[in-house]
Amino acid sequence: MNKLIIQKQRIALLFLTIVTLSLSACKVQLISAYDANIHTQITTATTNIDSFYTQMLATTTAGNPNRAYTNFASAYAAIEVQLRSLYNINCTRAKNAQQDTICKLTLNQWIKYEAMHKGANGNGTLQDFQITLNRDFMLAKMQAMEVSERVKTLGASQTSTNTTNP
Amino acid sequence: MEGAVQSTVATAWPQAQAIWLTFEQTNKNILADMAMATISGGMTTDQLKSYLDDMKTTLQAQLLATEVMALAVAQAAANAALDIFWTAVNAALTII
Repeated sequence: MNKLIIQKQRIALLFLTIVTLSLSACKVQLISAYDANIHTQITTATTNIDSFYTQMLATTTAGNPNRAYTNFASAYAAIEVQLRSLYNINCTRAKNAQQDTICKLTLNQWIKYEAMHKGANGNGTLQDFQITLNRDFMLAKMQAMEVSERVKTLGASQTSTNTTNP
Repeated sequence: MEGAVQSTVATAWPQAQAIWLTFEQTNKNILADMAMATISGGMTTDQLKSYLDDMKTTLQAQLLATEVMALAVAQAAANAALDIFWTAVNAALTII
């Protein structure tokens, strides 16, 4: 009889240990995990946007045909693809509503600025101050996007997970 | 457990402050460029309105990034507390 009781106690203890070990692996997750690939993609897009506007300002002049929209249409499309890719990747991540919205706001702003350059006639131009402000606002949005990825490592040991980008 | 939470928050606080200062500086630069364009007479009222809308969405994006920052710190603090708790439970089980 005593042997049976001891055996039952041992089984209970083993069960308790297994449950404890399983629960101790559980973590609170309020936001998606940091992704080094996405972070790199954000910084690359930021550099491209900065380079796009800075070159436009440095190599063209207001009122000159070299600043016409058609000269920049393919560059606008290339950056739009990068921003849409970031938006699509972030949409698929769980617990990522804030960053998802930042990506949407950034993409919408890029499309708005492209339309501003395109103008009503389809081949418009920009003033110097418009290039400066468009760059300012785009880089501010990209900064918010970059911060929202980087802060996922805040207060925690540097844990990074990699997601295969589509 | 309380110490682990305090330590996590204390580590994150200077980083959070640095990020807020960066956002503040960015906004100051944008407002300075907007003021310059308005004073020089190059910007129309409609353009000013459009850029003010962009300022609004920029602030929205910065607030969302700040929200992620707060959640990251809360998550790290909760997990630090859980780690301490489960270490204590495991130690107790070892004694039994």
